[in-house]
Amino acid sequence: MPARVRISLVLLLGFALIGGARMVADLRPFAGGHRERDDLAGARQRFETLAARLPTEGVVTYVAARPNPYTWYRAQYFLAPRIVRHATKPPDTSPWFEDE
Amino acid sequence: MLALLGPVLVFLALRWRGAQGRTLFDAALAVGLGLGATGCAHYVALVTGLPILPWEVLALLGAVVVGRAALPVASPEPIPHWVVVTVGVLLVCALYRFVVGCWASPEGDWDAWAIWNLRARFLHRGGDAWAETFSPLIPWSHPDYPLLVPLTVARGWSFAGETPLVPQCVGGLFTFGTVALLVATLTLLRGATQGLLAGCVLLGTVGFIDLGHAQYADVPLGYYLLATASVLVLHDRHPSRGLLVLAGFLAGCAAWTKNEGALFVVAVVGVRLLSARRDVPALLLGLLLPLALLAHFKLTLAPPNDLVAEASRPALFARLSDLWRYLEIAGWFVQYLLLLGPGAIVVLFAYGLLVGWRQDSSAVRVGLVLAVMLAGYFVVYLNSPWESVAQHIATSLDRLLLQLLPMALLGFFLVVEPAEVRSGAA
Repeated sequence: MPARVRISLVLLLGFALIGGARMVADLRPFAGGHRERDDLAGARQRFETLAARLPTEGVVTYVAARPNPYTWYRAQYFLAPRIVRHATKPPDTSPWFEDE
Repeated sequence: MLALLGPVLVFLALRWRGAQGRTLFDAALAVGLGLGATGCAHYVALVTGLPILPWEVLALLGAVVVGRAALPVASPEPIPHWVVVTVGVLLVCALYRFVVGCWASPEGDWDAWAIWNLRARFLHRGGDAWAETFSPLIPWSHPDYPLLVPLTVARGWSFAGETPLVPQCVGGLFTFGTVALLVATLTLLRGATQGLLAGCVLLGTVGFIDLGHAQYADVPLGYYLLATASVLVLHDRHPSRGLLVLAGFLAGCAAWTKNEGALFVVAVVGVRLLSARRDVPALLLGLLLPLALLAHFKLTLAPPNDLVAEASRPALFARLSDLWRYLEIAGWFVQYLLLLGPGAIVVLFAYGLLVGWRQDSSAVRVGLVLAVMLAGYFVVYLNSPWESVAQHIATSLDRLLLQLLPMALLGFFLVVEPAEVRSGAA
């Protein structure tokens, strides 16, 4: 095998193997995994408890002066197929909840 | 297992009395065909209110018919054992990363649960009110995004129950299916060594594996871009109307996966119109079903895309006439392209210089499609209503480039000389 072909293969496969090593050694993106799982479990418990007291469909209002996207989106995720809308004041008719 | 019935059935049907020497290609193709057909059937069932099973059987049969198009067969060749070992090591690393990622974020990363899996929950739980998922009260969930991935996940949940394992499996099938498809296509076209080298590069790309376990739709889209390009290149080598219909269906599935897929359809049809006009009717025939579903969705259910809806004419003119904006976006493109991998472009270019280049008209077509896609992304950023285009780019450009990476690798390994040819000639 000519030297330059050998060099090219070492270059290409070495580059790929460095990527493989990073996949195993650099797990920093998952360092918050425990926290993420705990947050998720907390949100699931809160909103599934709330869901048990709500109609199975319709609109639920998230009341907050400034909505926290995390709360709003998580609520929507756990309360689907209900629609979670945001308002600054509690509504007269539809059920509602606030930030904890 | 039942949740993944579509790909398994399509694979078995493709292999039934199928040619030897392309098992990997059939398996990789069955992923996209099976899940794509299931997604199409599920949408028809939701819209018509009829039971899904007849539609699903019909769609899977159709997928098998187009999937059994006359394909070439790989001739066996000795593969250097060190290439096989490297692929094996990288596969273990990638699988480990994928499993750890699924453990850390079982519901996927932000976009996965806030967009794709949220929509799947509406489709699965909503009953007759499934279309509530397109409510204007939750514009942040991007209700205009196409539905193939949520439909597939929702269909899986109807078998397996609402478990995170289903979207994780869909993510895994598309992630590793993309790698398998790249390896298998290049094995058919250029030999197993060339295919495995391309697989090494993709398996070694951390960002690609991370997008897979994050359950983002960019990986399924990247799969369909690669699948379309692969089948078109195979058609260039072994002309067959069946392959064109198959390519059209796969391109339509790309448009049914993400909005960027519609740009891809325009690019593919446009490039074929310029280079091989007679191919276009069969390509359009394959596009018919997924594009009809997409058109129905966009015209009757989906609100306008936020990037389009928020664009006013004076603001658009101001953006388009701002020269610094062009330069800023071009600068970001160069930076992100160099960081892809990271450094993959530099390494691949050096590899090409060392082993040599060859002419390949199919690779030129792949390159043209890639160029149209990049130009389209550039225009979208140019017209971005975001206050800071840098912020818009920071949240999306790396994903857009990773969508294109598998198809770009296909094109690249078509135009470099195979390393074993040089070694044999020496």
